[in-house]
Amino acid sequence: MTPRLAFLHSIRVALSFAILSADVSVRAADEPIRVLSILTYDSLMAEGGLGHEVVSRFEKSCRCRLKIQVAGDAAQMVSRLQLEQLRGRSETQVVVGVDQALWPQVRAMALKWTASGDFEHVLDPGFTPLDYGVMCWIWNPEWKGFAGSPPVPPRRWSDLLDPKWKRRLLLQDPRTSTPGLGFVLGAQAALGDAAGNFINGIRRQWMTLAAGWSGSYGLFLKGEAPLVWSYTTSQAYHLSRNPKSPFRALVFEEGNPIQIEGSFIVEKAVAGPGQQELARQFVQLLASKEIQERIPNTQWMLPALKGVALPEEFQSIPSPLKILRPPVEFDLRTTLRHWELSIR
Amino acid sequence: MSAPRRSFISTALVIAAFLPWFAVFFVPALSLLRTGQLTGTDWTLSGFFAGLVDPLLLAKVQFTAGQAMLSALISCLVGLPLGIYLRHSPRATDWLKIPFGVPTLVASAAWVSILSRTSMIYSFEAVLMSHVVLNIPWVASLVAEAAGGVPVGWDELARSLGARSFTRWRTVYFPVIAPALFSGFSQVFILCSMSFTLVTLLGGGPPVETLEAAIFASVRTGTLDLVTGANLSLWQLVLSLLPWLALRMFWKPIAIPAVRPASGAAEPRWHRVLALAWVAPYAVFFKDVEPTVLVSSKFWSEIRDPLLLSLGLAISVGVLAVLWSSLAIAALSSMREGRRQKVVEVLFLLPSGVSTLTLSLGFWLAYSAWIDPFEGSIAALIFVQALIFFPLVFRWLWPLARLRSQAALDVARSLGASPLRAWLEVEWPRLRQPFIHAVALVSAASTGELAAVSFFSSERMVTLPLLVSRWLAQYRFEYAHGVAAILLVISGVLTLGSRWER
Repeated sequence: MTPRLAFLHSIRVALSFAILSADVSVRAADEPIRVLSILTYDSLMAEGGLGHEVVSRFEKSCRCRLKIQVAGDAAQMVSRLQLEQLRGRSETQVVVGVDQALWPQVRAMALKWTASGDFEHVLDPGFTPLDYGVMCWIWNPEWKGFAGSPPVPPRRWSDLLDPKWKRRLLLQDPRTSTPGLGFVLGAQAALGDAAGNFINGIRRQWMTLAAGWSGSYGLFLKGEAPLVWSYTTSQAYHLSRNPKSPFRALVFEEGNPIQIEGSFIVEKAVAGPGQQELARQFVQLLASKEIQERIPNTQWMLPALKGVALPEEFQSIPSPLKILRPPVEFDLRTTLRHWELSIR
Repeated sequence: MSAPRRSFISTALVIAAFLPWFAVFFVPALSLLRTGQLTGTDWTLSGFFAGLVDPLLLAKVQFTAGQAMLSALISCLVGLPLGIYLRHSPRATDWLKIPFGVPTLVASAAWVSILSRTSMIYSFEAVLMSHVVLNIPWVASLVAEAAGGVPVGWDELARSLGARSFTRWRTVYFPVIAPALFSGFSQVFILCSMSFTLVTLLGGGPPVETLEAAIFASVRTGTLDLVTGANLSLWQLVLSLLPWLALRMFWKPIAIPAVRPASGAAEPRWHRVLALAWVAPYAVFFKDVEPTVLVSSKFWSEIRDPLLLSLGLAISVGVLAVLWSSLAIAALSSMREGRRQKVVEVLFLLPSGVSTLTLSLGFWLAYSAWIDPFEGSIAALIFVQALIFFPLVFRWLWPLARLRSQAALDVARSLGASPLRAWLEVEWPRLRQPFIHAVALVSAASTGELAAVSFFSSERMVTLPLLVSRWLAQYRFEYAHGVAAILLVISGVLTLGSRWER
């Protein structure tokens, strides 16, 4: 930090201290209200989503206030955290919604503490799983663009390169969307060295590379294409709305990638033991059975905790033949760079 | 007024006009070279150049320059004959400029609607077509204005001297049309190289990605990569400033006294239909505007805050850009005509060759201690937008302000009026309407601006263009078209309303 920035920073710290001191002295007669700053992405805080429910439950029990900061998507959330680090600020105390592909970017910031629970999938210490999903293509056999009877849907990754799927796939940009990144990492895990050629070929197959999952799924629901990259749980969602829904999740012979979302505490941002305890209580609530039971019907993902009963519509979703995981250590920037070079 | 006092006032005015230029343009542009400070890495010359010639970055430069070149070429190839054909129709020529008033976002929404369910949607061809259709009428209007200025007598004289049609075209028309065509080509190239909205919404993602879209992606999405963002911005500066400089150095229009007919009475109606046809694609999107959406309370409750923010932002930007231009005009007016004045004028116009996202990234890098783009910054948004529109306002108002009536001012001063009073009594009545018009036009343009808004917005600070862009990206077309229609109405009311008094 330059002397000028350091000077400005010290002024800001002094001012914040003065304001906080004044605030505390006013509240001294009562009990000071603690504030926990949470960073998450927008769909977790969407109307009917899990976020609002968690916030109200926690605020009732903790005698504290949650300050929710919402980023557009998980990738933006990570960028924001990185920016805070660059600027020497630590405003975010708990991050909710980071997945295992983005986790290596933020692992160093995390407090090495994981909430207790018997989880389906476990990552490093510091990462508390929230939910998970198996990524797959969702198939619409009744798509109006088919001339005659629908073709056989793809069963292997390489089937996607068949000319009959040209401009008929709806995919997400891996730079902005975690399912999109999951597709690239899944292709690498499934195809190994052949992944580069596969990605170069798939470039002619997608109709559009949407910035986010909701964009591509919206286009799929409008009938623009017969295949969209999503989660097996999307089939459960459609069945819950319409038991005769034609949409089907496709699992591939080489396997399907998994996405594990979770939360962590930003070590530098939880100043004292009291604040750290508050953050731990919040993360523990997310891992509790009562919240985990709400995940299938609010987030349309699978609960991270083992033994949580699933709604009926989840019973029919196909299980992956093999689960594809990204390597534990990988450089996201290099992966995205290779992807960009492959599609040109 | 004594000479020392006059000199002091002139210097003070120039400094005052340059302060915001320095703070909002020069310092941010300089900051693009100093990213090492933010990333905590040591800056080295070799590392700097290695970053600039990165193959991935060069591929984006190549794509941006290639699509801009192709768009400019096709626009000129079609715009040239169209302009020549309409050269004797001044009203039709004026109408050719209407598509330029359509907010880019509305144009994007229209093209998404037109190309839906075709093989062209979300492709390079879609981007190219939208660029070309938007720019052909602009090139045609420049050509028509230039060719229309050629006196009929010149052509007849050449004919009487035995010149054949090609020779007449080469010797009479081409010397007049060529500078206009070159100007049109350069302007279209610059605009298309800076393209962000059309490429983002119609391109379907990488590899159809201009430098502007890549700058945005490097900072606001995915992995935060400030160095790449700055390198992309430097290339963008090169691509947009070179044609701008070439234009200023080599474009010497031939001054011909206007010989146009006083009214368009003799103008065939067909010519105006031909000119207006270029707006037709944008009218198509109205068919997708659902009246039920426009009357639903849910729609209005969702757009209420963005609407208020957009209006407040538009008016602030309009007022600031005009105030700043006024200061620049006052500074130039106080200087003696000559080389120094010309240099200052060029410096004031320099930001017009710089893209919005380049400026935005530079602004952010320069003032990162106070600005967090993820938190949203209304002040940054106002300053950056005002800088974008400042050269346009300045270029429009400066020639008007130069036509001052010195004799009337001297009379007013001799009658005892102070310099300010004399100016208010003599000059302001003449300039008032153009100034109000400028505020309205900038406000209208600001309501449709998306690039700076995308950069400095946050989840709590969403403007109407950003809302349209998000809804288009989420394929919520009914709502997106509803907001786009509102944007078009605001833009139209501000533009036409300001002309009403004239």
